[in-house]
Amino acid sequence: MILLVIVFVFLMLLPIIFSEFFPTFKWLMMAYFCIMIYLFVKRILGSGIMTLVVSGILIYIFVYQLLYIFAAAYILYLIVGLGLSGIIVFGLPSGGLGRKAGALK
Amino acid sequence: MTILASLNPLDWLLKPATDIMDTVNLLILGFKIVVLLFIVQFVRGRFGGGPIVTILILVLGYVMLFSNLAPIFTTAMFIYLFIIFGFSMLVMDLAIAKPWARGGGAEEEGHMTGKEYSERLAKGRARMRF
Repeated sequence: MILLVIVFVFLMLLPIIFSEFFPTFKWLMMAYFCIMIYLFVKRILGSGIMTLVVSGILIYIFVYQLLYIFAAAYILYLIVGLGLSGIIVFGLPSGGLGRKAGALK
Repeated sequence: MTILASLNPLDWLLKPATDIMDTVNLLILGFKIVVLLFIVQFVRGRFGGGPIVTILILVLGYVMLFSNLAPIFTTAMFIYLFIIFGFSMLVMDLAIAKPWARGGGAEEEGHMTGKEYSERLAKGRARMRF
């Protein structure tokens, strides 16, 4: 259980670690989040001035102020949304890498 | 001069949120805006466009985000988003399936050494012969 939590926390921290070591990654991540937020708002409000205003507010909050929290949450959302959590949850404790079964009990 | 500088709205806007309460308040504000967008999407999907629909959106937005009932609706919305994003499956996996508590005979079979595997194959072949 502790190993699972450590793995999930490590995966959530990956964008933060990458951002610290590679500043270009941080700018690319910010650009990606901006586009994603804009498309999310555009899908709901359509093209118009309101879309730009709401996108601006959301980008200011989530990309400028809370980038690391948002990036960590987005990684967790990707892991869960793409179904990778099952691999992590059920793949890790059953062994692999030569670990003996039941070693985590 | 320092007072004037602190009153500059651009300073306030570009100041990073370092305090924990600033961060929490910003998170809540962002979440409320996202909930308002979901309300807009829901009402427009059901009733189309027009001034009455706009009024309905404003009323629903006020009731769900700023009235006395806001904590109830916000919590419900949070749980709803939690479910539709699939986080509940992760919690179910961890709480009910308990993958770390598995083990026993079936697991041991899955981790045979090469020697054990060849012995097992030899036994199978011997069984096929007789």
